[in-house]
Amino acid sequence: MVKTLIVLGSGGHTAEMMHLLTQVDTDDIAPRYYVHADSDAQSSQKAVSFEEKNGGKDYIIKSIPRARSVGQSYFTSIFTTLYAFIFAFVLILRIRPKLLLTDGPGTALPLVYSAFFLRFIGQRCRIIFVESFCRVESLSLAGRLCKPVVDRFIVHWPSLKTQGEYVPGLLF
Amino acid sequence: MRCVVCVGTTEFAPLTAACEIEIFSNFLKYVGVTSVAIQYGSAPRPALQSTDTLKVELFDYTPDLSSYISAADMIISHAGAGIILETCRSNAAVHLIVVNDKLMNNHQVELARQMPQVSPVPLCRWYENPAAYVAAVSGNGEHGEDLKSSVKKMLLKGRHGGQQKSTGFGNIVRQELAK
Repeated sequence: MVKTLIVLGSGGHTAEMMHLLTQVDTDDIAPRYYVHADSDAQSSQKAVSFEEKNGGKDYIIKSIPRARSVGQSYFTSIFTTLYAFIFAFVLILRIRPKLLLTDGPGTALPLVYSAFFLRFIGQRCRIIFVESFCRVESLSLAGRLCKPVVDRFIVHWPSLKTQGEYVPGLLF
Repeated sequence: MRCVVCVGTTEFAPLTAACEIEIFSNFLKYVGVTSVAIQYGSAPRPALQSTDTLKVELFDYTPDLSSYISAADMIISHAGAGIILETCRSNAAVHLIVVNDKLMNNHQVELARQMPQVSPVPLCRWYENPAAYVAAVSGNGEHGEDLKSSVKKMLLKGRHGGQQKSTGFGNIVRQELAK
C-alpha cells in the first residue's frame, strides 16, 4: 500500500490516465488521491466511474485552482499561477504521497515540483511522468519542465527516444 | 457489419459532408456495412437516411460513444488522440483516419502519419485531408490501392476479440515501488 497522487487533466489526459491505471494493481497504489483542476468536473467523473468499476473504496478526489485559464491576461496570470503553486504545495504537504503519477496536463506542473521538494524535508515521493500520446515529434511544455525532477520520464514514440524512456504500445 | 464515423468535439464539416455523397453509401454497401452511426459534432446534420439495406444513426454528441466503438467493425475518425486510442483498444478490423487540415498548428498530422505502422487494428490508413479520403473511398486513391476490396476482405476476416492489452505501465509502477 503506497499513498499515491494521480494527476487528472483535461479530457484527453484523463482518458489516457485511465488507460494507464487499468494496467496497475490498484491495491498496490492505495489510498489514491485524484487531483484535478477546478471546474473540470468531467475528469473527476471519469475517476469516479473508474473506481466504481473496480469496486475501489480507497480513494479521495481533490481539486486545485488553475494556474491560467484560457484567454486570461499574462499580468493577472502571474498571481493566479503563484496562487496555484502555493495551493498545490500545501496540498502535497498535507497528503505526503509516496508516488505521483501524471501524463502531463498543465495542472501537473505545481504538483510535480511540490512533490519533488518533499525530499528536502526528508520524504521521498517517486514521480512517474508519461508524456501525452499525441506528442509524437516534440515534448510538451509540461514535459520539458517536469523532466529534470521526475524519476521516470516515459514517451510513446521512437522519435522521442533520445529524450525519454521509450515504451512502445503502452496504451494499447 | 457496423461502421462508426466520429469527428470529435470540433466541427469537421468536410468529413460529415462526405457521408452524404453517393460514393460513401456505395462504399459502405460494397464492403458489406449494414449499419452506420455518425457523430457529426457541431457541423450541420448530414442528410442521410436509413434504407432497407443501411441503417443510419445520427447524433451530434453522445456520452456513450465507447459502446458504439466497441461494437464497430470499421471506424472512420478524425485524428484526435482520444478516438485513435479507443479504436486501438477496440475490436475493429478497419480504421480510416482523416486529418482535419483546417486546424491550426496541426500536431494531429504527426500522430495520424504514425498510426498505420503501430496500430493493432489490422487495416489502418490515414489521409492528409478529407479530399484524399474521398478519393480513396471512391477508388481513385493514390498508389492505385483498391481500398474498397482491402476493406471488404479485412471486414470479412474480422479481428480476434480479446486481444492482449498492454500491462507495461503496471510493470513500471511495480519497478518504482520496489526501489
